[in-house]
Amino acid sequence: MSTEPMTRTARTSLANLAIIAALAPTLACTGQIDGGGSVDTPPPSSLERMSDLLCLRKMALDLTHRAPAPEAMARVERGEATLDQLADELLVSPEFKQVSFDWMRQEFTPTNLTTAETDVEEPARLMHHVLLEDRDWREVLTATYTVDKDGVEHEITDRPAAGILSTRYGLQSTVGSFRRNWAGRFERQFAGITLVAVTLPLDQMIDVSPDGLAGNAACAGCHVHPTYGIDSLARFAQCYDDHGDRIADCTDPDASFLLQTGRGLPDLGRIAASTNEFKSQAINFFFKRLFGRELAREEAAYYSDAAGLFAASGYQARALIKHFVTSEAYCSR
Amino acid sequence: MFSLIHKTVRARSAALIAAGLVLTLTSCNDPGPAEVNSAEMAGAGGRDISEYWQSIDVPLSQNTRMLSFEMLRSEVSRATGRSWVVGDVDQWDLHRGALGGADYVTTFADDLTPSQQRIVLIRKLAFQVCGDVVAAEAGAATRTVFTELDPGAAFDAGGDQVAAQIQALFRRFFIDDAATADVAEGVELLRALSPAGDDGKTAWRGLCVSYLASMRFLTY
Repeated sequence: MSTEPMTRTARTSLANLAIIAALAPTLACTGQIDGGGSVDTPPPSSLERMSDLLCLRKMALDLTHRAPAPEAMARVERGEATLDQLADELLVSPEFKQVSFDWMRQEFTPTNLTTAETDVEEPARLMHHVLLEDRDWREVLTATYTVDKDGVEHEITDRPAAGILSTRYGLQSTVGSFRRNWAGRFERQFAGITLVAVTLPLDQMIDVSPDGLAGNAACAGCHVHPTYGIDSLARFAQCYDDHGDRIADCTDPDASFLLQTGRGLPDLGRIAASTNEFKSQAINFFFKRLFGRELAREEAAYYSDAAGLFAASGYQARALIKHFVTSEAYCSR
Repeated sequence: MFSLIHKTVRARSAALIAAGLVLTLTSCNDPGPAEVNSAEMAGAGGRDISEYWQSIDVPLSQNTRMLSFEMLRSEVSRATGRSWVVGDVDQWDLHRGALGGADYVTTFADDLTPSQQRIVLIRKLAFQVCGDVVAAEAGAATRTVFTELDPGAAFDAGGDQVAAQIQALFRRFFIDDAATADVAEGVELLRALSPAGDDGKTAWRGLCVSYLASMRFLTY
């Protein structure tokens, strides 16, 4: 555990975290989800279904960043191909391979803590590999292997492995005192829980150690919350230094997240990957790439339809993407 | 008597059911009841996983976006069959940053903001590409974009051939059939650009630019 002194700014910005207590709105009419989720259920009647050709254009642009091929358009016009078939073709195209890698790269950008030697693209390569090999998406957090620049898997044997969590980028790009920034990013990225830093008044000096904040009523709500407590989550990565190296002879302490306990990154990966929180983040990740925005509360029916399909497919991301791009909602505006 | 009461009750029940159906079908313009699988929405400790999700007035709406840099490059090629070239130099890669394309070295996401600079640049490329198309197809024996007439020739704005060419261009650019109003707008633009119909190149180039730089083309 890092014991170096913190700056005043770091102390004030990292000391307290508060949950955004967004109350679920009272949903009347607008809260009624009208089942626009699957191919068989229509989008809201206020939306207009575009033609198959225009939907093909949208699908091709999203999945390949290219206009639809004239031959594909001709097949649709002649009734020789369905959007379902063309989605399958686009999803195995070299262009999709590149586009989907770019989706992943957007998630893992260099930070002021990463160095020139840091393999910044390692997490993106691993996610991309899981996608293209139709592996279980949960391997993103549980894989015991990494993927090199040629796309070849390598089993990790010299340290605990937990998918992208145990990559150097994963451990180095965001740290914070007592790894609180790392934990905050983890919660946002993999559980969809957003904590915000609270800046303390200048004249307020408090004990910002985990024990100190646990005993501070104003801070404990976020720092030691039984479900999303930031300090109990940070303990999963306590045996790593700020460069992402495992600290010699360090024993992973007991830690907890989302009401489950464990020790070290592999346990955290296993715990997080088993939750609906992680599933929703995975679905939201792909939804955003295809709809241009994140899911809304009023789209819970569409979401739960997709979540069911995702689980039934064995958590194959490509099946989820196909589900989205062949849905009536995707072809409506 | 019993039968009469029974019939009355049945009639009232039917009326209530019908009224209920009407209310159900008309309220909120909603085609059906919500079908949320509550098990999928439950997070750890029963928390709602949609707790931090945004709110939206019309579910599944707001999904129209600007074309990204790569999409625009590909779409311009599809619609016109040409790249954006000035003096034998391809312009696309030179303008990647200005058109919002990520390079994954300093920028890691496409910028889709329709800024003033970007819109002006798109108009500039549209004038270049459309000018090149018209120049290449004017007087040519075979034409790809101007399939119905020679864009270099004089034209009759009110004629069937012009209407057919507008429809063909519209379909080529927007992958959709032109409505009567769309054709009328095209004719009006051609007339504005060449009132006597003797400057086909300017007129057809203008119509091409208006399509290529339109939000209908630049979004998906």
